[in-house]
Amino acid sequence: MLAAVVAVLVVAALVTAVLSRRDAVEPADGAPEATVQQYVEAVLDHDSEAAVGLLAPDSPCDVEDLDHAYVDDDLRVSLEDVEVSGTAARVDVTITSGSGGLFPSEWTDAATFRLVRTGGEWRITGSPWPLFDCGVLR
Amino acid sequence: MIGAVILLLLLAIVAGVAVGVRRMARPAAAATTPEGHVVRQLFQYLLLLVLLVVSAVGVAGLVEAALASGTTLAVSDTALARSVAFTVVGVPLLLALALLTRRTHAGDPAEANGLPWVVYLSAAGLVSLFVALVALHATASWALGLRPHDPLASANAVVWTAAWAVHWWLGSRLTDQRPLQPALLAGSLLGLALGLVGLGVLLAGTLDEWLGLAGASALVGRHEPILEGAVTFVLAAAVWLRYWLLAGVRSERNLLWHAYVLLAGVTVGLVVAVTAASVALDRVLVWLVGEPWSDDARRYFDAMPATIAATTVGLLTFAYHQSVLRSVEHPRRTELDRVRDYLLAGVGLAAASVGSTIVVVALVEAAADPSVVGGGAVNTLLAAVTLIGVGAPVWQLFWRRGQRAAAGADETASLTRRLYLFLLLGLTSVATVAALLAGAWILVDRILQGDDAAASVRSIRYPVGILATAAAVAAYHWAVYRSDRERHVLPARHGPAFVLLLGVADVGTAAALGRSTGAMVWAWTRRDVAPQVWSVEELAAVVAASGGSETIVLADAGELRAIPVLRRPPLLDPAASSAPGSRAPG
Repeated sequence: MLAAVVAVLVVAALVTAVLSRRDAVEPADGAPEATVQQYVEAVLDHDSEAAVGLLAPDSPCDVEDLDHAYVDDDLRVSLEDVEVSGTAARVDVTITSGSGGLFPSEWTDAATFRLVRTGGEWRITGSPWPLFDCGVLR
Repeated sequence: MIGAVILLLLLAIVAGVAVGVRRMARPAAAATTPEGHVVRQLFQYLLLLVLLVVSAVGVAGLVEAALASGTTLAVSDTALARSVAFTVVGVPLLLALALLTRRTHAGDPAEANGLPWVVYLSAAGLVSLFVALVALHATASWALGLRPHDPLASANAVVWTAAWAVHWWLGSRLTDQRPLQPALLAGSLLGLALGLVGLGVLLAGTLDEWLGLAGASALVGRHEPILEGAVTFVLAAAVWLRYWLLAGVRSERNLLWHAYVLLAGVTVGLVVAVTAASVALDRVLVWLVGEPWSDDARRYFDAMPATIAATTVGLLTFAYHQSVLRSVEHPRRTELDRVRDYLLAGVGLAAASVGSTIVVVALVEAAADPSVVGGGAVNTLLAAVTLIGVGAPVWQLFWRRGQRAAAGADETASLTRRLYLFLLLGLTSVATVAALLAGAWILVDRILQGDDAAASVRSIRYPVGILATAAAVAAYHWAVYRSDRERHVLPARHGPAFVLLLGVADVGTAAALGRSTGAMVWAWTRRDVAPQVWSVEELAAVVAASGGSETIVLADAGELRAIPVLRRPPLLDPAASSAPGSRAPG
């Protein structure tokens, strides 16, 4: 009886997993979150040049900063909120790492990307995740 | 070039040591004393375990290097050197020692079934199982696209699963499987715990989807809690199936077995269910009546699927292990039933006591300063009501069984019930004294500091809450204890003072016979015949008819037989001591 209950629960869960399976969102072209998505993907691919190309011209960070930054390979970034105000935008995300092990343990951190619109494109300002205080020690 | 020469030299030394070990083993085995024999076994199996770990780490490191060769640009020299050294030194020594062990076991069957070997098999099997599980989980997660590729995990999965399989096979060759029971139960516990975690994650993820509470949209990466939980559940279920369902549940139902089922299964299951249900109920009550910390239902009930999943998992564990216990239940109430009932009554009482303490704290707080009664106080009160609402029915359910049985002398005289009552009276006494001391200290301090009456009373709300609850619990159980003592009259001893039941009774029956006759009763198991349990009445009749003050009872040709004995050694008679067969040992 109990085995049947567990079996039904597991089958229902797996059916739900298959039906609800979703890949990463695809933001509209030209949206601030699309720039953030490209930036995070480039950082995770260790493509520092591509990532730096998405920073605003006045950002203190450069390719070397990104080369030296530590990034966990096993993480996911979720979109929480997007606010656009004229030529400025703010994208709030949560970064979760450490999931998926035999003993589940997750670390979730909130991060905010601030963007400006320059030359018709959204670019990230300041020292965005995973960087901090770029140029301070130089 | 120099490196190759040194490596060859190292190999020659290892081969020399291995050959030396094999040659030395033969004369040494015949010449050692029993004490030296045991010490030799301890060191031999400890060395075997160390060599197993060293070899597995070395081989897994080499396999990892091979798997990662297409994707890794540079490998640390230190890591490669360790893998090569561990493999070159560890594997030959491991094989040599394993061959030596096989030869020793062939010449000495007692050692092949001895405790040191069983301990080695248990330790090696459990270590291999754990490392293999972690590695298999990482590999399966990678195969499903849930985690990035980890070549070391794939290498470990192959090497340690093989090590586990070899040790499981070696264990299955033991002529007496009973000493392996602790390892079987430890493996069962690992499978059960991980399986419940996996099932909980899987159910929580499913409920998240069904209730529309699944997390925010992923910008990068995937989050598949259902699949992650399913991987853990499937692996753990395989372990649980192998260790418990196909072996552990059929092993000897002794104290360890019952402790596992009662503590790891029934009690932990109930504690998880009660705790999770309390959290879920509290959250709903605060949303309906209290002051929730967020007006956004989606955010507020974000953790609800996890609590519902934990409640379900806890109840499933509880129900399954209850059914296992029920399958061996006797028609009458045994000591085992009492242990279960009083243990679970204790769980319920603990939850209800914490709840009632919080109620008293909230009442004292409100009486001392009515202005503090707001949303926070209502939430606290709701938490207390929830704990009482969940804990009290559990306590009532299991305590009532004991109280119903307490009409009979068996229950009131039972060790479990008396222990339960003494433990509760002891704990509540300590809590009462501690609360009195703390309350008096805080109160005097506040008065000396010139605080007003309301502030002083408010400062001692926690000691008052603990004092009131502990006093109520103590008073009730003291009354129960006194009532038990009045009802229970020690039976006048009739018949023998000592009875040894040889293969005719279990522990519960022996205890019942002891209570009915007043004798000291031991129950031993016979290894030459299948265990039998005769009724207390039949045993009592044979014991009463035996006549002697010390008696052994056994079954002979389907009938009970009592043999009067004297538990003291025979006095040595010089004339008799020379007769064949009457010589004193030693």
